[in-house]
Amino acid sequence: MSFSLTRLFEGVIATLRIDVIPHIGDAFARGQAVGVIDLIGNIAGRVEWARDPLLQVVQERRRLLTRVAADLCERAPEFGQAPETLGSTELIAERARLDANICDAMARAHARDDAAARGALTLLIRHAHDEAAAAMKWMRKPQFGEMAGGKREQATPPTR
Amino acid sequence: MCHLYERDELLDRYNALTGLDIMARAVRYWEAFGTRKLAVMHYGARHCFERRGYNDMRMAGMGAQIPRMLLQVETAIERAA
Repeated sequence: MSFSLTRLFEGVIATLRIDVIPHIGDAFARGQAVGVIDLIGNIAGRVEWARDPLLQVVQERRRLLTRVAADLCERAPEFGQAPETLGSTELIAERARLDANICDAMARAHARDDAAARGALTLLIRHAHDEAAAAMKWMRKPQFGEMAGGKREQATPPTR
Repeated sequence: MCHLYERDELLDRYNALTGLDIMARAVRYWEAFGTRKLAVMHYGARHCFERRGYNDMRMAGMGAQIPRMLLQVETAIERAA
């Protein structure tokens, strides 16, 4: 469930330029915000999503689809290139492709009403749960209250 | 509910004060339905940020919380089942 980093950086920079910096009255604070833009611009072309978690997700999805196909008595899926040989960008594309395959498998299992299909659906649902639960390890508590109201939710240490 | 009441206590009190007979099962259904709608909004926010060029960081923030949202949907549906 990861954004395109290019788009994320672009969005952050645009927000700072258009919605934040024009409203900063303090010169030092404005300079710090411009510093953030400068820093992001310098690193943006050299960062990518960590490969290991992506590899793990792709491997798990391929295992899942193989097992679901066996449960549904379908032909074993063909995946092409071994994920271990892929970089982050290719793994993201493969993850999206497998996502679509999982949705298709779910639709096929739903269309049937037998024990094998129900077993396959259980596997697919458990996988979705495990993947979301694993993603939670990287996730911080949302700050929607502060984002929506613009007021600080809790005291933070001074930055200068 | 907001750490003020336990679920059953709130429902009992609501029923007593309004004179209505709200079924816990119905509340669980609407809770699951509402959580699902909220999850759809999160996907919509993510789509607006990532594909449609909206730079509102609240949308990006919602997109980043989708796994949490999906787990909440799962819990709400299981509770309602």
